Parts: sequence; C-alpha cells; structure tokens
Amino acid sequence: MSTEQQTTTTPSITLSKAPISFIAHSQNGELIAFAVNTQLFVYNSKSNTFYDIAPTDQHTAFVRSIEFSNHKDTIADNGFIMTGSSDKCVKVWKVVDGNKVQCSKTLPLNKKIICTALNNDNDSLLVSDKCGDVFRYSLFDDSKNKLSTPNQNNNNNNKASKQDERESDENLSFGHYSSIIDLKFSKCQNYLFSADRDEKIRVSKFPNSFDIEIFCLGHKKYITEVLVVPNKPELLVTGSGDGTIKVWNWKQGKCLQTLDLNDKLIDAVTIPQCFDEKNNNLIVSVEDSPNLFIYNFDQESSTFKSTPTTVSLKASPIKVSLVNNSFLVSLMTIEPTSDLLVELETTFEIRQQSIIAESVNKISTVSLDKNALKTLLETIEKKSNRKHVSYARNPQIHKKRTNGGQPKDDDEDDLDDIPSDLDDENTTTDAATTAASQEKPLKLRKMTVEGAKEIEQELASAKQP
Amino acid sequence: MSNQVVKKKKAIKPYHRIKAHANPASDYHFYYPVSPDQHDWSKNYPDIIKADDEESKKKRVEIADVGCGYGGLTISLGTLFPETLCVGMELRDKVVQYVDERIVKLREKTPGSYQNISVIRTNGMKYLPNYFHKGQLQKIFFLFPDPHFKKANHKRRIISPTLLSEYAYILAPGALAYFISDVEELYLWMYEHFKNHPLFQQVERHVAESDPCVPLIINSSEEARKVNRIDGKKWYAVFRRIEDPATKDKSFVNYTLTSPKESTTTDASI
Repeated sequence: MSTEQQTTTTPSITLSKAPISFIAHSQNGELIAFAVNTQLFVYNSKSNTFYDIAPTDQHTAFVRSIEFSNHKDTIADNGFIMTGSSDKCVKVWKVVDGNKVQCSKTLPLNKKIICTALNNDNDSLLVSDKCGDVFRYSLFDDSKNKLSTPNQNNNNNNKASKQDERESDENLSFGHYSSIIDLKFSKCQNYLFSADRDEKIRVSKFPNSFDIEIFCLGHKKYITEVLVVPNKPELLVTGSGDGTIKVWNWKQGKCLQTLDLNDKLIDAVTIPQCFDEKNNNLIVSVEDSPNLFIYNFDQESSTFKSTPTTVSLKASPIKVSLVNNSFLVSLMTIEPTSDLLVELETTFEIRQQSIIAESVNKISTVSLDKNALKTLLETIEKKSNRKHVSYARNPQIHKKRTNGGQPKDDDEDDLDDIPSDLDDENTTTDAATTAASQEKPLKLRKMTVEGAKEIEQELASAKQP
Repeated sequence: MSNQVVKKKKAIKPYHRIKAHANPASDYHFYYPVSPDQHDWSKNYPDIIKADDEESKKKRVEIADVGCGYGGLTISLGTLFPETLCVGMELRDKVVQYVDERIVKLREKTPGSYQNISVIRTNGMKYLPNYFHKGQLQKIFFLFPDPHFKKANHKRRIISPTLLSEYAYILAPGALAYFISDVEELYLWMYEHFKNHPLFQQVERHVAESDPCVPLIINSSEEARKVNRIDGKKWYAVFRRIEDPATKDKSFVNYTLTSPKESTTTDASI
C-alpha cells in the first residue's frame, strides 16, 4: 500500500494516526464497529473489550461503509456486520466463540464501492460504484448475484471488456449519470434516497427502483450526506458544499427549511451527522471546523430553530454517532498522541472518564505522514466524487440568453477551461473589424471564407452612410 | 447608419459548423436552473409566458426534442402543434446559437407564429429534472443520437436503462417517446433498452404508422435529410410511458419500423 511505503521512506516527518472514518453500532448498542483506514475494529460496550479480528480477514483497501444487520441483539440473534471497501469486496462478519469476529463471507464485486445500503430484510444489499450505477446483491443467495469471475487473463482487462461486463450486469438496479455520494433507505424501506454530485437527491421506489418518485432539488453544490430522521420519517436532512442544511418533505420533493451556516464560516461544507431523538437535536459538523453545531427541533412549529448551539472540540469531527445515550465523536488526528475519539454527553459536555474513549485511544493504528493522511481524509470525505464548481444560478459565468444576446461560447472539448480565457481570439483581431461587428461574435463568422467575406462587405456598407 | 449592421441576418449554418460530438459526461460551464420552478420560461417564450403574469406561467412545455441539433424537428413540431410549447435541447453551444437565431428570424418573418418553440443549451442526460416536473412532458424525441461506437464510450449513449428511468419520470403516463437512427447497431441498442424497461411499452403498429410526428422524425431534421441524400436507411420506433409496470403487456409482439419501408419485420427476425 502506498501509505505504508511513504511512512517507511520518510520517517523524519511528523506522523499522525489514521483517524476513525466510520462508526456504526448494533441496534441495542452493545457492539460498536469502527473503521480505521483498512482495518475494522469491533468493540463490546458491555464487557468493554475489543474482539479479535485476524489480520488476514481484514480488507486490503479503505473501508467505505459498515452496517449492522437489523437484529435487536447482534450476538444472540445471529446477526452480522457488513463492510464495504475500495478493494472491491463486501465482507460479512460474525461474532464467534464469544471473543472473536470472523469474516464469514466475502462477496467479490467488480467495482470499487463508494457507498452501500442494507435493506431491513438483511439480505438485499445496494452498492453504488463511481460511475453512479447502483447494483443490488443478495448477501445470502448467491444464485441471484451474477458476479463476474475474476479476470483470468490480464489481456482481457481493458475498457471494452469492462464495458461488456457492465452492460450484461443483471444486478444493475438503477443509476445516476454522475457519481452517487450517499445512498439511504427510507424508514419504511419502500423508498430509496440517492444523492449525487450534480446537486440532486433522487427519491426512488424500492424494490422497483426504476420508478422515480420525485427529485429533491434546491442545493446549489454537491451533496455530502443524506440523513434520515428516525422519529420523523417524513423528513429528510441533507448537507451540501453550498454551506446549507436543507430539511425536506421528501415525498413531495419540497424543501421545508434551509439552515444556513455560511454566515458562520466561509465556504462551509456541511455534514448532518446524527439526530438525537430524545432531545430532538440535529448534530451538524462542518468540514475543517473544530465545532459541532446543534439545531434543536421545535415540536410546536415542527421546524428547526435557526440559531444553532456551538460546541467546540479539540479537533474537527469526522463522524458522530449516538450510542447508548452518548455521542461518540471521531476526531481528526494531528499528532501521534492525539485522541481518536471523544465521548460527549447528550448535553454536549465531554465525558471525563469515558471507558470507551480510553480503550479506543489506546488502539494502535497505522501512522501516516501528512500526504498520506491528506489522501486518506479526501477518501473519507469522498472528495474525488465531488464537483467543486457549480454553474447553477451563477450570473457571472452565465450570460443571459435573451433573443438578441450572444452568450459566451465555451470550448466544446475542454472540460475545465476557464471562462476568462475565451476572449483571446477576439482581442487579437484588428480594431476596425471588432468595432464594426460588435453585435456578432467574430469567432463564429471568421471560421469560413464566406464569413470573412461577409465581414468585409459589412464593413464597407457601414462606411457608406 | 448602423441600423443595417445591427439588423440580424438569417443564421447561416456554415458559420455554426462544429464537431459532431460532445462529451456528455464532462462538466460544461453553462447555466441550468436549480429546480424547474426557478427557470424563467418567459425568456424562451416571450409572447406566451409573461414574467409578470402568473396565469400565463401555468402553461408548461410539453414537448422536448433532446439533442435537437440544427432544430429542424423543433421548428416542424412548432407548426404541427401550434398550441403546445415545444423546446429543443442541445449540448453544443454553437449549434444552440444557430437554432436560437433561426427561431428569432422565423418569428420576425411571420409575426405571431413560431412563438411556441425555443431552444436551450443543456445536457439532456443530466439536467432534464432541473427543467421539467414529474409527468410534465407529453412527447420526447431522440433523433439520430450520437452512436458512440466504441465500447468504452457506450455509457455516453443517450439511451441506457438507468437514464430511461429519468425520462420516464418527466413523461406523463401515456406520453410518447420517439427515437430514430440511421445506425442499425444503435437502433437495436435503443430498442432493446426501451423494450426491457418496465415503464415503457411499444405502441401498436397502426398507432405508430398514423402518428403525425412520425413523418417529421423521418424527414424534417437536418440529420434525416443528410441520410436521405445518400439514400440511407432509417430505423425508428415509438414507445409509450405506462403508469404501472404491472400493466405492461408481456405478450406484446414488438416490431421494427424502417424508412424506406421494408417487408414486415417483427421481433423474431432481429
């Protein structure tokens, strides 16, 4: 792995611990699972011990998601933990012999997993890849999974054969035309929410996911996270790169409320983390800010109060999870000694003698140098799947297309050309021509011989009053 | 003096000639509305929709020509359905400018007509839901789309199972989708995907043959005339958006229509 290579070659640089990128817990809160880089950790909050996981069982690339099966008691009911990773594998983990967690099943897929969603039936698994396609697999019935056999000959590993695989994939459930950033089931399990880098949140039916119920449109930049509010199943909370949190009535695709964090921070990237059902608090974090913002839900007006309470932490939070009436907050680590996790009371005071935080902070994880850490953080934040510039409603870039007006024209082939460069051609043309036909873009007309002649004629006719 | 210069000339195609392909997957710099409600259609249809008249704003676009190219079909549709708002959508900016100028010229020439057609620059594969509400459209056209022969580029084809769901979303139940191609391989691709999509069903043969739009898709667009010039063959089909996937008729015999007409081909022969 590149991260390990870098740490060995540059030992003089200050190393940081890899932060916890994902926290999940079982329904009764007994088991808590953490993902640190490629490793999975499972913690028992009753006995306060970590389970043993054989290193050979672990994923070989960054763990993207952890989900617990829908069992009240994961150990007693023979429940399982599911993880998805960039190494193109889904693994199913089970507790065995009381002190071990073992990988009971590996599902090799032929794409890097971006996000997953597990249905309440504990079997249907939805996986989205970087192309924006969502595949549905069965965790236990392999006959439903048309998995491609790993490429036996490497010659076959070209784009065309990959495309063949994709087109013949019968597990394809639905898809967006751009990368899907988050995928969630509604509480009733009959609907699916999928958010993409083109500011769209799609609500599709399940299992008939080809049938789109509605789109929730309103964000002006990519979506970061979709949060389903468990005790208010009609609401959906989303965060975005435009610095706002939006509350939706997803059934109608209507935005009910917009909570703006732009007045507090510049270029805020908001992430709704979790919802405390008992106190009706919505916990929001902002990328690269060491604060948590708490919005209280007002039952009477059934809206969120627009001014948040701010809670300051030592480092910026990555993931917040509500387990057993306390918040587990995974922090961005700066030094090898810094904490991975803090536990907060529901009143947002830091719990001083937290057993779980102590045990978690003791675990030895991979140390990373600055660059490797940066790469890891970008992976956590799914940065590669974001579109950083949005042209929706941007008056500077868009010149209004009225009947007579000429819009600025873009280079058709260049993906990232800068609009200010476009006028180059016009400035090099001689002054007389530009003066005479300001009304029409020269660029277009000079493309042909006839066009050039026409300009000459026009110039001549303009000189004769 | 400058009046003559300022007066717009008829748009001439060669000045707007550009490459035939554009990559639909890249991020272009152009405006699109955040949601359908926020798009000001009065700029597109100044005579029909007035910015200050709420009542006129209730009139919605019902026909979309996705990938309208030089606008041949869009303009013919405007004449065929004078009461319906019709929009052409195209990704290539210079082509959009050409169509825009063409429409302005037509409106000048025959005042009162061609008010119901317009063109917008957009990526039909990405931003249709930004322009149209659920079930808003009555007709959608895909005329001579880019074939993208290379396997690796198949994802750029305008018809795919995942995109069909999006088109089904903006179409009203019972609305029709038309597609035509002079490339048999692409036709078969589109036909297969439409046929297999649970929300689309091919219309009965007599319906397709008597549809007034069918002659237009065969002959009105610039691309179609290009094919006519070389006596090329065209394959086309019409599909209906069905509301409930359960009502899809599984015993329906799908068929293929061609221009010039050919002895009957049914699904079995493909």
